[in-house]
Amino acid sequence: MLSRVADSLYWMSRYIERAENIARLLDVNLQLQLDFEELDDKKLKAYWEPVIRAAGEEELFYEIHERANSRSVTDFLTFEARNKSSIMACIMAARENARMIRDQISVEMWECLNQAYLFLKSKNALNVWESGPYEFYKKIQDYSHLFLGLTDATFSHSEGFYFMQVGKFLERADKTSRILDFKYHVLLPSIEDVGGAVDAVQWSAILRSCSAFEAYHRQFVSAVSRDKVHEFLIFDDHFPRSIKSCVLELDRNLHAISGCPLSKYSNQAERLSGQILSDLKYDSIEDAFSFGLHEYLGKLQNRFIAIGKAVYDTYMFHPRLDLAAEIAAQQQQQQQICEKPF
Amino acid sequence: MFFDAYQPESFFDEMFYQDGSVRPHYNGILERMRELNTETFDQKCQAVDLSFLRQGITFTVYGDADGTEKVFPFDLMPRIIPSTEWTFVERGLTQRIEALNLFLKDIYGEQRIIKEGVIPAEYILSGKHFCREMMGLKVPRDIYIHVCGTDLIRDESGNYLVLEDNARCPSGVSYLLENRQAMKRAFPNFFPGAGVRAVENYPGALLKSLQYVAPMEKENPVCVLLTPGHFNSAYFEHCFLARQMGIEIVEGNDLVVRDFKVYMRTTSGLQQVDVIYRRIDDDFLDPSVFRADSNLGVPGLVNAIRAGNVNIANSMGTGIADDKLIYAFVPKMIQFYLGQDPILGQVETLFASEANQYQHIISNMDKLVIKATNEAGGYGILIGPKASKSEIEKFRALVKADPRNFIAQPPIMLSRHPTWCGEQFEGRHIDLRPYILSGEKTTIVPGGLTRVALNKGSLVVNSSQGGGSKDTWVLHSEG
Amino acid sequence: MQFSLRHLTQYTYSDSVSDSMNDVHLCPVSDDLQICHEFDLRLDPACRVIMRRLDFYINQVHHFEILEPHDRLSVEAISRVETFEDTRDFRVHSSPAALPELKLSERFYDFLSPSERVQLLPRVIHEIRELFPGGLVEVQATVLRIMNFIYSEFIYDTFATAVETPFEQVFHERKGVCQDFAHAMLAFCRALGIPARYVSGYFYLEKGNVGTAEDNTQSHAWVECFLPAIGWVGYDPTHNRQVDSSYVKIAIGRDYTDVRPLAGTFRGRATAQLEVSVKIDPIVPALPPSLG
Repeated sequence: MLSRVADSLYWMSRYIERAENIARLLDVNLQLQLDFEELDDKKLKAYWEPVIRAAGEEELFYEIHERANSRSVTDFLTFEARNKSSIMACIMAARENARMIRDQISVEMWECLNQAYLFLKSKNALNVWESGPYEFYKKIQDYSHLFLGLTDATFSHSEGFYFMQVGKFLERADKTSRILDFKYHVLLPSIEDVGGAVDAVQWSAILRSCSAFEAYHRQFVSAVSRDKVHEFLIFDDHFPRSIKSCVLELDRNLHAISGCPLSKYSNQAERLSGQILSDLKYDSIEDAFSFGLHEYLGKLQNRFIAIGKAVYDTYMFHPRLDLAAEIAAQQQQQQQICEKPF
Repeated sequence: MFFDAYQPESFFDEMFYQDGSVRPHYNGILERMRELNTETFDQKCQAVDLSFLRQGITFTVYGDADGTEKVFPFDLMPRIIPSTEWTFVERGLTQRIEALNLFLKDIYGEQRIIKEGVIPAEYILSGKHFCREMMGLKVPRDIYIHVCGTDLIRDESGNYLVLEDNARCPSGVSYLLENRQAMKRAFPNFFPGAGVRAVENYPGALLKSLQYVAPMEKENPVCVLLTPGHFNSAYFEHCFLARQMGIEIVEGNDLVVRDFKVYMRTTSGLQQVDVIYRRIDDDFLDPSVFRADSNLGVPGLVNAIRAGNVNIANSMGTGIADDKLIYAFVPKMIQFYLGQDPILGQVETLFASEANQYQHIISNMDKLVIKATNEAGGYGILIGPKASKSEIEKFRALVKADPRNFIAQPPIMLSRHPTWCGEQFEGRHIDLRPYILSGEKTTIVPGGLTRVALNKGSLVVNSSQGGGSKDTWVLHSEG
Repeated sequence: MQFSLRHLTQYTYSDSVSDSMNDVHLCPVSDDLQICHEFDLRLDPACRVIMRRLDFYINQVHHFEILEPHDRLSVEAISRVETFEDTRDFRVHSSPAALPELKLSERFYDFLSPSERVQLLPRVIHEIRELFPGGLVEVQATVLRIMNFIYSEFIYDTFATAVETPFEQVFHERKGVCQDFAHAMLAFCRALGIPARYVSGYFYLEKGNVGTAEDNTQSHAWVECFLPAIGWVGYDPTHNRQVDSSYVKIAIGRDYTDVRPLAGTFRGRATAQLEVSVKIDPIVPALPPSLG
């Protein structure tokens, strides 16, 4: 398989997963906001700012919008193409990657992404969004799920598929950790509220952001609490969006690419994923607490970045130069200076 | 009801005789059409457009900041060619491509055609696409033009004439194949019993042609399609063909040259490539030889070709064969190399570079079609009788400044074909681009891409300038 | 005469470069007037394969590629060439009547047409008309007159032009080096319909003769004109003399661009420095010992 194709498959998959996660996050936050009474400008700002911060696009946001409120933030994270983390930008990037490798993916996969793109670009998208964000974000999630299903049903489960899975699970693990961490930034009205009703509502929202509300309740009959939510979303063995299940899949697919047995590793990406997996297997939620939750999640995120880089280095990297540097270098194609006869 | 008000007027109409009666090979479709009403026909049109958009069968409009993608308009009324007529065209095209390949072999080798005074040296050596790098370079199986898209038109009496040969990187074949798919979806019950020859084997035939010209007659050669990238307006077609042939589609950056061999980078290392079906122009192929500022190509590719380790289709330097000045000599080439009379006619051509013809051209610009010799895609053309005074003056200045770069032809009233214009069928001018593959034998997909000038009275069929297309049916019989 | 020639081209790059792909025109031709007895191309860094081919004008081209990163490149061309006296009869009348039909031949077309570096500017045409108000009478005399005109009209100035200075500027400023003199002469000849081609090579100037400071340590350029009834004859407008056995010819072309001694591309962000040294040594036949 061409390295460029592997790279595009990987990113196509990551971007569509990313779009879905943003859609879910926004959807839940918009709903959550309905549960609060009397939100003034200041509170709204405090409520929405973490969302922008989580996307890492604060500066761009304030270039475009004066105030952070439901309208401006959701618009920024949904339709703003300049924001690389918006749903629009992600769908466009996923489609652009798909377009580069159209000959490699199934017609159904391409048409699904193309439709998602055409929908977002259409006037209708704005109408749907105006008349009810829930429907809108539902539609985005549906496209993502349709894409997952079509990939599974129409795309050969071989090397290319494994690259897509790696992209998807890496993105998903990362996003789950960020959604959990997100709560860390959200200010509670007061310290007394910790463990109170507001807190519980917020933790429920976190669960819903990961589509984990029902699964959680099947696991824990008890009320929603910070500790249990963390335990569930980090360490659960079976829930498909828990970090541990994602890493398990990530590890499995990385090994499928190289053909290396699961118990061993043949490259840096496999070594790193194996390490995280074993940590997650032998750590407990208590270890995470004693390490500091925010720090624990932060460390995971850094390791996911390292895996992404290792995948790139292993499969998209070539002797001497990596692809990006080589493309840059090719643009640096120069002519030899010529001798002047006298 | 559709055709009650239809007027063939003074043009050659593909479907109707001058007296309004239908030509026999259109009888079947006419019957079928009569079963439909305006509303259902319109619905089908919209469904087809939507399906093209959904599948992303689009071309990118250059110079549009949003990167707008447009659907190439498709007309649901098929163009029909009876069997003997097609056999004649096929023979003519085969003869022509043979002569063109022999011509290229000659001018990049012995140059007999110049030495024997058939074509003046000046016309060849001054050609923008004459490639001095090709001199003395042997290409496998002596095939230079592997894929040719030859534009045919029909004059007032219905004679097929060659308008131009596209011998560089002709595009559009994916539309031909997609049009057939769309027709089959829109009118599934038209096809059984209609006796339409299949077009679907094109990608297979193309792959065979590519494999046939592998260096050193290598078996099971690795073929790839080299694209300028996904921003190119024909990217859809590149993907479409690569997928149908089951070969990799690569960009310049995917290929590297090592020791005069070409490799592609894969997730499991470098893999050698034998044949490159390239869809980028000569100028961009190899920045170490041609344009150093191009990053579409592969540095070192030309020397890998010279070393005989890789072959490209079409070869470099084939552009000289579709130079519009050289076009005028194709009948002589056929005589010279094959000792035959040309089967297909072509349009009489005047050279602005010839003193005795120059004056005639300059003073009759309003009556002639003026063409730049090296442009493609319908650019650089002046249709005198339809042009404004200022356009004519602009062209007059261009011709005066660089006579070598212009030729003139009498305007030909292209044949017309009933075309759906929203409410009824009206006559619109059409041409035909068959795709000719040179390999072990010459293969031509039955029919080709029929392009139609959708604007009333327009003679320009190019997609970039208001053109659309039709499905082309070659019948097994006389219809 | 016999010469031993050493042409050393050295590039120093400010940073590492790679995928360097180069064509060199450094191997002297063998024809009626000279024989190249030996030629060797030494590269550093070394290159596994050097591909040799003939170009469109039947010059020898050597192609080499250095793919691994390097920060300097040295190309050393060493040759031994023997040159002969031109014994053709130059007293014959070279009639212009034969010229018009030459343009129809593939052998002459390129040398009669303007090229990238030889443009038939209005000023060229104008000056030709002033120089030859009666038109072309005898080709050899005309060519000599052109050479003389350029020699007296143009100033030899090594700082006035660079290798890529456009022709129009050179022609306007009337200053330059052999390359510029040659291009100017080509323009005049072609404007008159006399086939003329660019020649790159070496010129050996014996000690004690008047010449330019760069003689014997630089490569040189001149032109060849086609004289009906005689053939291709070399003229050196920089020194105002007909080419003889002290000239060694490397390659011919439409202009400098066709015969650049070394041309190519590489990848990298580096800037390059070029240093060239040429050494031309006559090989003096050893005298028989008895006379010593």
